[in-house]
Amino acid sequence: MYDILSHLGVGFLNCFQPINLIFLVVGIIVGLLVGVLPGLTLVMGVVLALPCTYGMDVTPAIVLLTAMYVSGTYGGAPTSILFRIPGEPIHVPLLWDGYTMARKGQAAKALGWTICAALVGGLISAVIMVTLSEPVAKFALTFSTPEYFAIVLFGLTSVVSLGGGSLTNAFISLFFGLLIASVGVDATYGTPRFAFGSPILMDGIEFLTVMVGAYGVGEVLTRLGEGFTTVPVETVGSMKTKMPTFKESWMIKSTFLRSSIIGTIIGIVPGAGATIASFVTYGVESQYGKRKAEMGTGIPEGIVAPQTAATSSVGGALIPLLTLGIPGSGATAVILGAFLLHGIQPGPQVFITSADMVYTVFASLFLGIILMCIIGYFAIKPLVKILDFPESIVSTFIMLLCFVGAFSIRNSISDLWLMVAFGVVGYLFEKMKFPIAPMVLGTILGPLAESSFMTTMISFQNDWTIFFRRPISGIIMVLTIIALVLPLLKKFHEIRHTKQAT
Amino acid sequence: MAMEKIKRIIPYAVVMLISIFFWVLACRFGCETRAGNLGPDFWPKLLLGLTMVVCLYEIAKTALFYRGNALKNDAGEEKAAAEAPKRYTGLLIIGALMTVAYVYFVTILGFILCTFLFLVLFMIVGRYRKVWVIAANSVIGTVLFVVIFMKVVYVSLPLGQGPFQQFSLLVLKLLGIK
Repeated sequence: MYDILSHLGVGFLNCFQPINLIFLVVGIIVGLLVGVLPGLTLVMGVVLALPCTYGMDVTPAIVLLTAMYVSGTYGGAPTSILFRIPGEPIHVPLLWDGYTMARKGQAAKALGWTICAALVGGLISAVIMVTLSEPVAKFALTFSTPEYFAIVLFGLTSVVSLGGGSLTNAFISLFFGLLIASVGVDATYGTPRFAFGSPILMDGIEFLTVMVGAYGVGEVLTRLGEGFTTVPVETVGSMKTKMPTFKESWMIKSTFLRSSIIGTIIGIVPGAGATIASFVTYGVESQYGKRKAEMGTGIPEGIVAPQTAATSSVGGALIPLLTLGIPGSGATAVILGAFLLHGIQPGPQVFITSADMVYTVFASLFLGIILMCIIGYFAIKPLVKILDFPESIVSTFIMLLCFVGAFSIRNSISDLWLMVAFGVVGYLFEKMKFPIAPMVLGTILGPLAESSFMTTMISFQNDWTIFFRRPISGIIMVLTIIALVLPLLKKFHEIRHTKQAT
Repeated sequence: MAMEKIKRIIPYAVVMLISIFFWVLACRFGCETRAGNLGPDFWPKLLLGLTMVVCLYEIAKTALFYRGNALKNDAGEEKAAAEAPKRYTGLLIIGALMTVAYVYFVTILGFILCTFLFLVLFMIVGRYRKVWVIAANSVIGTVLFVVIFMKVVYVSLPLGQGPFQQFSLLVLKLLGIK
């Protein structure tokens, strides 16, 4: 514990170096803006910021992206409460109590509760992250390829089962992503696969190209098909924030604590992110909270639960990323990309080789959360003003960032063509209700999944039962099966329930 | 009803056909592996096989059990159609073509000129009509992108060919970028 605290102390000192501090503030501001704009999702924002980090050192680059990630979970809260415009799906639950509270003339108080929730949730999850990361990393050093395959498989199935919507579509999307990752020269045998003689395909398809295309271009095309229609913003008399008193906050301490823990756990589960965390905690509060009957009528618990969980999911999502090299969400997948672009492979070794950098990122999360709340408190008016910015202009610049982002990965026009192709795929997926997230995570985790699977098969003479016979991988495989079976049981239960009702 | 079923089946049938095509390709990878070892085709074939199984399941489910919305009232459908947001298919096609055109022309015209034109045209296609705002955003946007990515981040963005390259070099010189 002493080691962790001393490393964290060094991390804080590093954070106060001008370069890190500047990028921390920039990341917080840009993340808040991304959270406000309805056409720009959190993941897309982080993806688009990635090319700007190519020329940076790894620490400020990761500090910038992490700051964007954390502040993006708060950015859309004011617009949800004041105008009923959730900048992100994360903030949809805030409409139910936050907007209702604002309609009752308590907008300032509702805004104060969101800041308080983001602060408490963020700090609790940051503490959990710092406490758990090093022990988890040390434990992960004992992992071999079967364990890695089991963890990756668990992550991929969680994306499918937690994503909602059609399970078959999610599976197709996932297999497509894994297949994209198999393009190029095979790592085990050196055989070219699905390359069609193209040199760029021989090198494989970069997951960033897929992300930029599917999330960026695909989304802009979808919005263009809807004519870039922005919901007109109502005029709100006062845009002040009134913080709740300590006594008021203490009265709902259980909501803060429960939501922070649930949010962090959901963040740790690969594939589940801030959106799921905010919906789940709102559901938990509605079912088990002290004032469950009043949920939806504009009470603080309805604001605190989703916002606390959304921000606390960030700390949770960083744990598997840094300790195992497995991204827990779309945004952490981009942060993983930033690490790889700078030649660092996150995982248990990173705590030994780059401890300073890791703890600077940890410290930046603490500082970032506090800064985000300060900026959120004072800059509410200019932040909300962003909504007046025409969507066609914002989207044009998003497209441009997509072009530059895809081109800069390998300085190749072929990557631009691939990005356009994945933009079309993203658009078609959106239209046909195929989720994009499983495809993207499949593309990212595909190489790790394949290499750990093939190495295990070679090492253990094609004995697939090894995944179940080793204790850690066995437990994870059982969890994977549960994650797969649960949604099926839920669906079966729903069908039976509907039949009984009719 | 039958039409609705076919409509639902088509995407899965297309995915199935594509999977079969790639399966055939995977059979031709041609790598000699030691007897008993899994080859480089195993992983892609596993994924393609699973995709086909999922597609077959969805096709069979739709063909055998799908009851559709036919029994639901037509009034409901009409109401839903009336409530659906207005579609701008023309804009979408133009936007998609412009995206393709940008990628095609960026090596010929160079990043600077191509980006400026793209910014102007895409904002117009996006139904924005304030000419001065478009012009200002396009000029400032292009300059900002060039400075950030060519001077700060050192990305070697395309300069174009022939006279367009000369133009790009002139602009870079004016911006103080070597």
